Amino acid sequence: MKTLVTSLKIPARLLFFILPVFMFGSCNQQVSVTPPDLPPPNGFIYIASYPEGFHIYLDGKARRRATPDSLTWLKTGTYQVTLKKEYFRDTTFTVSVVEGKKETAFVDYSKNPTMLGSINCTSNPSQAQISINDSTTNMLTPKIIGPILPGIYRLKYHMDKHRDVIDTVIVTSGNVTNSAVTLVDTTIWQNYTTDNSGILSDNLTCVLVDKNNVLWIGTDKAGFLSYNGAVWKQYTEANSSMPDNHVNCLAMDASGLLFVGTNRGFVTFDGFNMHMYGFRTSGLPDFYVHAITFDNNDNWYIATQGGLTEAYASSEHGYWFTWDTETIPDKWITSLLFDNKGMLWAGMKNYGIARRGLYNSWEIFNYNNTRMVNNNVTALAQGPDGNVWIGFDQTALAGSGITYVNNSSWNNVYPIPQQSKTNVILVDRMNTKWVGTNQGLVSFTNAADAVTYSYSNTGLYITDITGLAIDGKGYIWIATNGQGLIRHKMGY
Amino acid sequence: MKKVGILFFIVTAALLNYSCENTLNPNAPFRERYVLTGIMRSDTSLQVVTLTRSYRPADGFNPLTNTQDPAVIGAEVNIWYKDTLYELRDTTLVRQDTSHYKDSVHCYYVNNLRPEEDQYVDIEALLPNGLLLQSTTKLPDVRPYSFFSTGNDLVIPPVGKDFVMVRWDTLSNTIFSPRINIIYYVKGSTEMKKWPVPLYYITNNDKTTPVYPGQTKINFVNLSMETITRALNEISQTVSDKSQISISEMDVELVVYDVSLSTYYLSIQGGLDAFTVKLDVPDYSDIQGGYGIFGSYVRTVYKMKFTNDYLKSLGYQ
Repeated sequence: MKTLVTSLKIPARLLFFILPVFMFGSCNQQVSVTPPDLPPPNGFIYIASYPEGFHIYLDGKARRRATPDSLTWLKTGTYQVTLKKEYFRDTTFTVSVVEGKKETAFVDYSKNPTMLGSINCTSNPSQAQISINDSTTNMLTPKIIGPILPGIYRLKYHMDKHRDVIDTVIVTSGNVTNSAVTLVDTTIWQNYTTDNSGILSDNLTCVLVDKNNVLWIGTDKAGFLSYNGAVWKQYTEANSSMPDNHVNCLAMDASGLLFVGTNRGFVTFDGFNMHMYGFRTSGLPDFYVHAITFDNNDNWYIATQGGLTEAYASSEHGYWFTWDTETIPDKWITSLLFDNKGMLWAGMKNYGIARRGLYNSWEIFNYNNTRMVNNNVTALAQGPDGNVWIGFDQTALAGSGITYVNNSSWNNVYPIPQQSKTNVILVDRMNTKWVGTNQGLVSFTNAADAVTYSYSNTGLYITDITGLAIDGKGYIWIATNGQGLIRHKMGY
Repeated sequence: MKKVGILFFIVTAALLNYSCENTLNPNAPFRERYVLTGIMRSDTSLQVVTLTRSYRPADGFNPLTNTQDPAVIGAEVNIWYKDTLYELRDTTLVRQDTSHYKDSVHCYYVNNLRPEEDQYVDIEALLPNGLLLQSTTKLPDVRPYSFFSTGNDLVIPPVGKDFVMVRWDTLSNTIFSPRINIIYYVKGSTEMKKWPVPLYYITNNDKTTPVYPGQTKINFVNLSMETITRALNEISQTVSDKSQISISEMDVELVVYDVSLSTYYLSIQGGLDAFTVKLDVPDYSDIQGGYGIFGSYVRTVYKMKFTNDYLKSLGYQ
């Protein structure tokens, strides 16, 4: 070593510098290295709006975000942001994102008229006060409210002596939403439903008012009810001798004894005791009792699907007689009437009218010999002028007629809706005819001036009328199938 | 001075020698990777996706030393189908097989998505650390009344043939997984039972082994009547009284994989030809931003009835 160093004559000081360089360089290696992982992109958009709650879409795809919120971990680039919310038009805009920077977007929908809508408020009668979402305003109908933000609005209309009406409407961007209501004049109309009163069913089949102004109401599935103006009572299979909870008809004799016809016979009720008359257990020819009436001698007449039966008062109603089809061609009797001349009218389901004269002789009237509307009789009534009014089932036809009989003259008038079924007719002391149909209530003195009662002129949904009765206070009571009981002050 | 120079030279040489030593580590530097796995099915409204991360075994070599499920929790997993966003919820399931991982199974699911044939399904998983995994699948188009050939046999045995062939349409870049089952009932029970029918049986050293169909690009199955008869006879061996069995039909149940799953199976199975290179399972991925597979399949069934005479000849009623 000495020789090497001395022979090469390399100065020791030079070695001192060369060797570390050599040492450093000698360990170099060629190593393949995977490039380091890049951090995730950190572009950021904060998106807010007024109102809030818009769903955020990025480049057409819904994100799990609603304003105000942010979209994170975005790459540098330009993005298409869409905001969507029910009832609003979609809004799309672009945002340029740079990684490491926070972008902000704010959309104020209240400043964009094309995003707003309005409400056209009208009422019958007009000048009703308008409240919006339980906040009272000074606005009166008719009024266009807006422009306002789209959404669901709860409008309340208020007027003295009228029932408040609440109307919920949906306002959408760029559209006018109509809110047209009719306020019920509570001095004329009052309704009783399971929602606003103690009535126990909205599906009523008939109504009767006794001499004490107590209402008796038949129901579809809840037996029958009484209402004295304060208290509702219910009589059903469960708490009485009622054989069935479906009531077809109600009648009351001169003594005040109530008769309730059902699908399983009928009962009598004197206010305390109930007596049941069933098929086979009495002289009834069928389960189904559709009408009951009485003559001046207190004989009972019961219309069933199996024929017309008379229960004689002289035998304390223990003797029953049913007319055969040679006398009354249809077993299915739908309606009964004793007219002011003492003649008994029996409406038949398919054969017109059977009428018993004063000498117990029967006459048959039908389309062929009278040109009455058709042979499917459903209702009978007599007015103070002696005219007998007849209603029909026209649901399968295009007719709108009812028939009246003036002495021996048969005439048709056409005041009721097309293809309607007349369920009940009532003629008041002023000779106003009230016709309850499955499509609503019609009243007229002259058929040409008939008035149809509907939501637009009453504020009430008067549809399937099943019963009519007049009390001693000047009210007409209207039983409906589905809308409960309605009271109307006569003369308005 | 000379002595100092010699000493310096020796020390420097020693240092030089020592400094070049380096320890050899066979492991590449560990970097965490993320795996998304999800198969969209057209026969259920429950779709499940798993998210896992790679991990370094505790001892550096044996993955079984890690007993904790490497699931990624807290990710935001979204699926888009027909322009509707489906937000997957995370949940845990009781693990049945605890031979490796001991804790619960973590997964993401949606239970109101039943994708239809020929429709796209997009998925995105945004991990808590900001990494985004994405993929798309298109369900195969299998319309039941046009997919299977109209000339296929409807009854077994077919007239004038001693084999049954069921064909279906070929789909480009798609493989199939057919399963043939005899459907039957045991009297007194309403439970439908399936008896698998092999493609054929092979006999080796007097031992017979059934060969069932696997994933294939072939678009038909061909079954000899001998195979079908043998399978029917095997059913009756499960009960003491043959009359207790009511044979209903024979089904060719076809699972049709989408392009991703088809490519995956073809890649890991190999064997298509002498030049095919077989990949390891983790080497195939269709996940952008990570690893794993997001695919789909649809299931369709072709049904054939047995003739009464044929069943009676085998002792069935």
